[in-house]
Amino acid sequence: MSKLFMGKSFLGKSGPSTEELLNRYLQAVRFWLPRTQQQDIIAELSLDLHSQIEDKETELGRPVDEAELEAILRKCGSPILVASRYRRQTQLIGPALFPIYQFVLKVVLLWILVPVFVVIIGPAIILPATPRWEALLQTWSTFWFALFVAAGIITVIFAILERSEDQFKFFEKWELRSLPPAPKLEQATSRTQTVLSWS
Amino acid sequence: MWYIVCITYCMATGTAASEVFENLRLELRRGCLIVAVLAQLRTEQYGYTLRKALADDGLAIDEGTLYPLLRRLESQGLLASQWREEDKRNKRFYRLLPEGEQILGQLLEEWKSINASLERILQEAGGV
Repeated sequence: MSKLFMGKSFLGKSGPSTEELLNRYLQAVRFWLPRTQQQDIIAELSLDLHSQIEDKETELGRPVDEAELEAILRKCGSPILVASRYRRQTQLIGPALFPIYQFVLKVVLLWILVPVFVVIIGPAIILPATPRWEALLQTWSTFWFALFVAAGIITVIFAILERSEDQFKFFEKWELRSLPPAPKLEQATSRTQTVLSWS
Repeated sequence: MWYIVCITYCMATGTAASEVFENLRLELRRGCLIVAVLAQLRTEQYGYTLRKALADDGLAIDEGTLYPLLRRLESQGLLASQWREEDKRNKRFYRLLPEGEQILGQLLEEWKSINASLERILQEAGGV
């Protein structure tokens, strides 16, 4: 459909190095783009950059040199950054789900996994074993393995949730009355009073 | 010694303040740019001329922002694009669709109401 536009009129005059540099830049952007859109996006970006170079050359009355070309490309931005703007989903877990992810991670790893190893699995393996230090070492490595596997599984689940359509429905479903009761703290009361006194 | 510490601190906070301003400015501009792009595309244009037209009117937008935005607006059904040859070059021309025109009207209404509210708030705050 679309051909990569490579102007011969201006860059050709300034030698192969500037053309080569521009192609390198476009190639680097292309690498980070979604495969199906690569050709389209690069053709459009290439046309824009060529037009900028052409305008600059008209202004200067001579072909652009390497430094001038670099200035144009630097203004456009780093290839990864330029390509990333074309991607819709750049977050593994977005800001809405992240607090829940953090909470689940903390509960599972710190409040479940660690106590289970310290109170149940650790003593059950280490105490009857001889020599004990060998069992201790083995349990220690198993503990770390379990920790990373659990964290990995939780991350994958949340990454899938992040990409599911039902995520927003989940956030819409909440009942005021089913929220946990607020603790009656001095500080909490005083803050409320402060807010009320402002209004 | 203290003088150097003070100068360094002032420079650091100065940079931080300008960074904060830059981030807020980008946030403020983002929505306005969408309205400007939609309005500008009432007449068909390709990317580079669109960028030049916006810059001439004081709303410069870099290529890394404009093209992804155009793609997004097209995928939302507000714009249509077509590759065509002009001056021996293949160019992608964009134009506003009727759906885009409708959304643009709504956005402009919203923008006017935000502007009016801001004016009121600023007047009240200024005690005028």
